[in-house]
Amino acid sequence: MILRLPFLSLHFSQRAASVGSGLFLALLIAFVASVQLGAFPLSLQQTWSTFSGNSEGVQRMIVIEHRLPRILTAIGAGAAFGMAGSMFQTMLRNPLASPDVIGFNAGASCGALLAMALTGDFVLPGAMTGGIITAIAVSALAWNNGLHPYRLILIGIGASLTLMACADVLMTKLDALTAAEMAKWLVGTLNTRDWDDVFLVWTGLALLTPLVIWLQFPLSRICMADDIATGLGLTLSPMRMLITATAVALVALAVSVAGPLPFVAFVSGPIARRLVRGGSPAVLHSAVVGAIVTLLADIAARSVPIAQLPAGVFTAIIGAPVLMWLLLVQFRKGTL
Amino acid sequence: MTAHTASVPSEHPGTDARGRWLGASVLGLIVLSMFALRFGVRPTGWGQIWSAFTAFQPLNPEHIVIREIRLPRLIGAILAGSSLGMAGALMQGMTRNPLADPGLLGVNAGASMGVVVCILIFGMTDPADFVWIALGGGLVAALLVYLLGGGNQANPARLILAGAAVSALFLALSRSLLLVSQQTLDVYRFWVLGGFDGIEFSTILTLLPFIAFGLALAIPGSLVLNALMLGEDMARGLGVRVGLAQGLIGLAIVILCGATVSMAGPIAFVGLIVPHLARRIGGSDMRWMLFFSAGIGALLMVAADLLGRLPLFGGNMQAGVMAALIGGPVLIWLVRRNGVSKL
Amino acid sequence: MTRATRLMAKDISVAFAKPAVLDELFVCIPDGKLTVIVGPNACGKSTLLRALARLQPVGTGQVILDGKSIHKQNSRSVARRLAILPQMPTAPEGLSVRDLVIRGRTPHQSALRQWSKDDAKAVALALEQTGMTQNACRPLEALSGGQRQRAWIAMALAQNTDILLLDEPTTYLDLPHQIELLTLVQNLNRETGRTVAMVLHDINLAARFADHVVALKNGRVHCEGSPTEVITEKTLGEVFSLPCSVIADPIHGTPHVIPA
Repeated sequence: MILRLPFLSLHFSQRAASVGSGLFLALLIAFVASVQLGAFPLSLQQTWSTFSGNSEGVQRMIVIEHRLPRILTAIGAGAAFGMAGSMFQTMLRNPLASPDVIGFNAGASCGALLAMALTGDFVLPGAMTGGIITAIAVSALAWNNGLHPYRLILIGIGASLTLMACADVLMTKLDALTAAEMAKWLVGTLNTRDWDDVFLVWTGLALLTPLVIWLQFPLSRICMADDIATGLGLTLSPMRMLITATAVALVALAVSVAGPLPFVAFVSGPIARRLVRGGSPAVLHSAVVGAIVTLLADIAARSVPIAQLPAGVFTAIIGAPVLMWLLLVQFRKGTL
Repeated sequence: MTAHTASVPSEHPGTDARGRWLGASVLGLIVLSMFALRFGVRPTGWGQIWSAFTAFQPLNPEHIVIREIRLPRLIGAILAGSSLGMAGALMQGMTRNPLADPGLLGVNAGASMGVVVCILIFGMTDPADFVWIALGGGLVAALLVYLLGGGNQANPARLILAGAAVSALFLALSRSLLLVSQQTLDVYRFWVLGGFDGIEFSTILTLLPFIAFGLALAIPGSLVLNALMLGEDMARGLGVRVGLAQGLIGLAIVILCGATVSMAGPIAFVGLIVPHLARRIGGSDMRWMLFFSAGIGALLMVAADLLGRLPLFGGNMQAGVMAALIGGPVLIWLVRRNGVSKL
Repeated sequence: MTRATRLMAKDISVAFAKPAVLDELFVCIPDGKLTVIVGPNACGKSTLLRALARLQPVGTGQVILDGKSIHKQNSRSVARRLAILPQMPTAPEGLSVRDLVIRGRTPHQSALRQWSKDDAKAVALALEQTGMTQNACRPLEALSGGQRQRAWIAMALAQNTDILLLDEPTTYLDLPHQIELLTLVQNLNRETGRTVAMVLHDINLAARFADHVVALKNGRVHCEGSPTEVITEKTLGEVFSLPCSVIADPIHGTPHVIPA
C-alpha cells in the first residue's frame, strides 16, 4: 500500500533509489566474498555449487554450519545497529548521538559483568536486563512534561558514564581468566554463531523493520524544529517515546547476538545521510551501511592470522576511513 | 529584538550565588587536598603534614611520602582536572554540542596511538619518554581532525564528525596493535592506567609551560566564545575573526588535553562531564564557565584520585573512572533539579 | 461583547517568570479577515501567536478553536485547520524547497499514504503562489534569506488550512519583497477567505494590509479594531510611548505613522 513519492520528488527519490541499490550491491559482493574467505578458502565455483546443493560434505558443512550463520548474524546485527543509530541521530538532531546516549550499551555491559560476577553465567540475560532497565530509567528520569532531546542527552551522559565506570570497577572484581573472556564479549564478537542466533536476529528484524519504515515518516518531520513539527500536527513526546523504544529494541536485538559492537550505530547514519543527501533520515540506507561495515569487520577479524580477534576491533577501522573520505570529498565539492 | 536572541544564554545565576559556589569549591578543594596528603598506603597524621612543610626532615619517611609522592600527585590531579575541565568547556562552547568532549579533537586517541607505536617499533619502555610522544601523537591527530573538519573554515558539525572518526580509528588501530603484541600491551597498560601515582615534580615542571600557554589561549578564547555562541554571523558582526578564533580555541583544547594525556594517560569522561556541572552551577557565561570548569575539574579529579585509593576499588582505580562514578550521578541530580539550558 | 469566532484566546495567562508574559489576555481572531498583532518588543506578541497555535502551553484560561480547547484537541486534526509559521524556522541540512513544501502536507498524509493527487496539487500551487517553482529543487541553504522565507511560507500554504498564523513573516525581506509577500497573504485572504493572523513590526505595513489590528501592551490587549481606529496618535503614544503624527496615506487612505 505504500505509494512512493512520484515525479514531484524525482530528483531526491532517484538518488535515494540509486544509492540504495548501490549499497545493496556492495552488501551482496561483501556477502559472497565473506562466504569464500577464511581458513578454508572457496572458489566462486565452489561457493555456487554449495548453494545449488551439489557439493561434498566438508565444504557444505563449513559453509552451512559455520560461515553462513556467522555472516547472516553479522548482517542482521549490523542492520539493527545502523537503523537504531540513525533513528537516534535524527530524533535528537545530534550527529554524535547513538544508542550509547540512552545508556543501553553501558547498562548492558554492567548487567553482563554483574551476572558474571554473581552467578558465573547468564551473560546475555544479564546484559539484556541491564540495558533495558537503563534505557527505561534514563527515559523516565529525562521525562518532564514530555521528552526533550537535550534533557535526554544530558541524563543519558550522566547514566552512561556512571555505568561505564561501574563496569570498570566490576571488571577488577573478576578473576583474570573470566575478565579476559568478558573483555572479549564487551568488545563485541561474532565468533561461534549458530543458526539460533540467525533466527533470533532475523525474526526480530522482520517484526521491527515495518515499524521502522512507518516511523520514517514522522522521523523526517521530527528532525525539524519542535514548533514546526508540532504545527504540522505531530505529537512530539509520544512519538519520541515510540522511536526510542523501537531503537532500543533494535539495539537489544543486535547486542544479544553480537555483543555491544562499537561504532556501527554511530557511523552508519552519517555515511548513509551523506550518500543520500537531501536532508532525509535515510534509516534504511543506514541499515545497509551498518550491515556492510559489520560484515567487513567480521571478514577482517577472520582474515587476520592471529587467532580469533573480536570483530568489534575492526568496525572502526572499516567505518572511520569511509566517513573521513566522505567528509574530504564533500569538502572539496563544497556540498556539505 | 533580533532573531538571534533564541540562542542567548538563558540562565543567569546572580553574582551572589556564583560567589557562594566559588567559596564552596575553594573550601572543598582545600579540604580534599588535606585528605589527599593525609591518606594513602602509609599512615600519616595531620601533624606530620604540617611538619613536612614547616620543618622538613629529609630522612623522615613520612615526610618524604608526603612531599615527594603525595604532593606531586595532588598537584598533578589538580592540574589535570582543571585543564580537562577547561578544555571541555571550550570544546562544548565551540561545537555547541553537549556530547562533545575534548578528546573528540583526537588528542587522546592520537596520544595512545603514538605511545603504542613507539613501544612496538622502537621498543621504548620508560614512561618518562612517553610524555613527548603522547604530546606529539596528540598534536598529529588533532591536525588531522582539523584538516578533515574543513581547515580554517571549520563547521562545528563537520569538525565533530571528523574528530569522532579519527579518534575511533586511532583507538581501534592501537587496540588491534595491542592485541597483536602481548609485550607492547604490558608496557602500554602502565601508561594507559596512568593516573597520578607515578607523577614526579620533573614531569609537572616539564608540562607546566604547556598548561600555562593553554590557559593563556583559553582565557581570551572564552571571551570570544561568548560572542561565537550567538552564532557565527553574529560573532562576525561583533568583530570576531571567526576562523582565527576557532583555530586558537582548538589549539588551547589540544594543548590542555595533550599536556594532561602526557602526564596521566588518556583520562576519559572528565572533559565531558565537568562543563555540564559547571553550567548548571555557574550559568552559561563562558568566562564563568571556564573558571568553574577549572575548579570543578580539579575538585572532581582530587576526589576521584582519593576515592580510587580506597581498598573497595582495589587500591588504585583509575582516576578517570572514579571521576565518572562521582560525576555521573551529580549530573543527573543537577539536571533533574535545575532543568536544562541549551548550549 | 465580541462575537465568538473560530479561533480565540479566553483569558489566557503565560508566565515564564514574573511579570507574566500574557496576563489574562482575551482576543478573538475575526474569521475570514487579515489580523495583524502589533506591540512593542517583549509585549508577548510571539507568545500570543504561539499560544493560539497550541505551541505554547497556557497557565490559566484556554485557547478555543472551533468551540473546543485547542490544547485538548488532536494535534493532527488541528494541523488540518490551522497552520503556523514560527520565527526562525530550522530544517535539516540539504533539504530541498520541494521536500520542505511537501512536509507541509503532513497532516493530510499518513505513513501508509504518503502521496495523493491532492498533495501534488497543493504543493504545486503553493510553489506557484510563492513564486518558488523555479527554485523547487534547490537546497534551502543555497537560497537567499528572502527566498528561504518564501519557501517556508509555501510550506505553510501547502498545509492548506483555513487559518494561517505567521510570526514576523517579513523578517529578512527587503521592502519590495515585504510588499510582495504581504500582497500575497492579502490575496490569499481575499480570494480563499482564509483567516490570517500575523505579527508584524512595521506599523505602516500593518495599517496598509490589515483588516483588523490588535495592539498588545504588557501582556494584555490594549485596543483592537480597524487600522483607522487603532493606529492613532493617542494609542501609539500609549502602546509604544512613541510621539508621532498619523496622516492618511495619500494613495491608499490607510493611516500612516510619521515618528516625531
